[in-house]
Amino acid sequence: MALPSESLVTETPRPTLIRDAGVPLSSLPTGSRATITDVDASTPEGHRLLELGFLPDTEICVVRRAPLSDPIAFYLRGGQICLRRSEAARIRVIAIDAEPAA
Amino acid sequence: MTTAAAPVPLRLGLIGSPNSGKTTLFNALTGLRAKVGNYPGVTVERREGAATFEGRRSVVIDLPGSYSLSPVSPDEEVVVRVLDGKLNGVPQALAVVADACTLERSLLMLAQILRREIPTCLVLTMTDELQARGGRIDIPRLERALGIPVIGVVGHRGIGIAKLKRLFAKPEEWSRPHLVPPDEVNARAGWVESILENVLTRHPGRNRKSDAIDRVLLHPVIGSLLFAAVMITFFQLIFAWAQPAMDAIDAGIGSLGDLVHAVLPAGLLADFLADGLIAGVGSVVIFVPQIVLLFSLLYFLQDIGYMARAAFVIDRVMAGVGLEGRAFVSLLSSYACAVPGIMATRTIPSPRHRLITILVAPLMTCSARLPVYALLIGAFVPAVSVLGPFGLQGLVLLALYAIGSLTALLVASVLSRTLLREDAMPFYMELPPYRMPTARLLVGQVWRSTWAFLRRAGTIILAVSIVLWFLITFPQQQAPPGSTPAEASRYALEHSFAGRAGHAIEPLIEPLGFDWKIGIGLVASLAARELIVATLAQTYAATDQGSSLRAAVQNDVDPETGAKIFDAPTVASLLVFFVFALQCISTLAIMRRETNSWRWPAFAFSYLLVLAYGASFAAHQIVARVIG
Repeated sequence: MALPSESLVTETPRPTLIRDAGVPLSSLPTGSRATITDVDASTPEGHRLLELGFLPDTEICVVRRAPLSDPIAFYLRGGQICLRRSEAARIRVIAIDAEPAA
Repeated sequence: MTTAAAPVPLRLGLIGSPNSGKTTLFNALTGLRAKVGNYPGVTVERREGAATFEGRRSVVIDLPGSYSLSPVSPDEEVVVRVLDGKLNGVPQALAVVADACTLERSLLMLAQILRREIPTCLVLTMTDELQARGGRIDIPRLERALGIPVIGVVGHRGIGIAKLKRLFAKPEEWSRPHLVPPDEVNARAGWVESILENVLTRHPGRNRKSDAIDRVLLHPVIGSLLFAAVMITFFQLIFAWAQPAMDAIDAGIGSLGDLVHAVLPAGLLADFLADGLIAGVGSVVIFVPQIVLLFSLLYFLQDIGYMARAAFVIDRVMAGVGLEGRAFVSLLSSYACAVPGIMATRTIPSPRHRLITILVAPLMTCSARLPVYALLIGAFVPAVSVLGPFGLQGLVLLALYAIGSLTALLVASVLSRTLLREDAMPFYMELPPYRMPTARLLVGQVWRSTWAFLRRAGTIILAVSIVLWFLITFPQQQAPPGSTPAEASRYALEHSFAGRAGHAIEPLIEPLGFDWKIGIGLVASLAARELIVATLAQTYAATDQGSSLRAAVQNDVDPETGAKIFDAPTVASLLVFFVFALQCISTLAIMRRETNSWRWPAFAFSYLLVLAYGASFAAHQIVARVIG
């Protein structure tokens, strides 16, 4: 029943290039580790995130959330920095633990 | 300033991110002799200190904390302007200060700095902590990779400082990088990676001690309770601990004035010295205990690392009114006094958040309003119990605090949505590891802040106090013969410039229920709120500012109608007026200093005056209607 093109899509392995992949950093549960894939640096505020070390391929850990669940504290490159949820949403990540083995 | 004959000293800039240990290093190099000022046109603090490196006289410039040379805050703009040579020339040498544990991030900025081709060296701080966390940096290899001198120090223990001073003596001989690093941020990140290969031989682990403390201090429940406890204690300490010292200064100023009166013959000179000059100096010095205490606590909590945590906990709440976590501390301090509260806004990096905080700080009920509240509530609010232990007087006082605080949040929210909407800066804040600050670092910071207050705000306060003394003293009119000294003093005040001003503004303040006597008090209270009590005592020729004044205001009647001057609507109106109006020269002076222009103090004064007038009028009308 399925058209060849459709079956092709579903059977394509995950792309190795992961720049656009991943989920917003703000959605990661506390305690998880992830790798940054992309940062929306279209604005000066977004660009500042890069300067702070939130760069693609950086490993990052969600340390904790404030009592009202915003801001969120992260550990990366040897130090802890907190961002508001809205800032963290500019950063896309792939969770390390959730990454498929294959 | 250097003398003209001496050779021009070497200008060395310290540059690094906040929390990099830059201030500790600056203190270790310069001692307590630093000069504090402002960079022209901006609110950024300028710190310079003299130092001698192997006999070579130098000026060390502590550049504002910065994460990048692509500036987003006024602090960072200043750094770029200094490096561009637009402020006093380009420094002859730069020392980039970097926390060894977060070297990966610091090198991103170092790459930008090396592109400037100014002689540069790298100072790695917290090398002891790096070791404790299992990290290792091969410094000789890092030197070779970067091509510039690198020195590891432990600033607070003085380790490496002697070696650093030898290095700083000869920046002309420093090696330069072989290649200019790239500019684009991702390319820079690649450069950093290539530099650190074989240099950062072991990454430091997480700081276990800090993590353990954070698990308690930032626990959703325990952390919030602790936050409340720390803030209440903070507030209480500034309020209560400063009081004995302030009382002592007050008494000292009083007896110094008495001494002048006793020694000098009665007359203008004695009056000017005692009531103008000494009282004026006193009105500046009186703030010193609160400022010293506030900054001791503030810098301690900040240097130890708790302030960032407190801001982290409360940020969401403050974001609701367009502010950020760090504004909370400043507003809380303003309950004691808006002067230290406004000075505390220096911890807020976003100029917009900082300005809004400064503009609403005077709405927090400061301790200078208490004498006014005490007089009016004591005289006119019956001391009846309302709900068990809660008396009506206490509830009225609480209501006044609440009206002020809620209005502050409301105004902040309105300002952040209207006037000051643009220039959104991203919110980011480092949560540095907990570190015990040294006494030397604390003393230096507190001393510099206090001195800056005395020098900058103090001169304005003193000048205005003298002008005000002039207004309530001149022109001198002889009281009718046979009047008592109290009556003579009342007569003199009524016919002074201030007295005439009181009469002149009577039509303006009549809708609020105020007569000319309250008018004189309002004119005098422009200098400081509590002065209305002393002025009313003088106007009513009261023998003291306590029971005698209370009785006088209770019994004062209009000579024509026989109606009480201080009826319920007027009392309500006057109380409300003091909740809002910015009658405080010191606050205006410190606003001028912190914003570097008269524009914002003028704005704050005007909007609070409009608010005060409107609210007082409304209070007067409402209470009059309710009573019938």
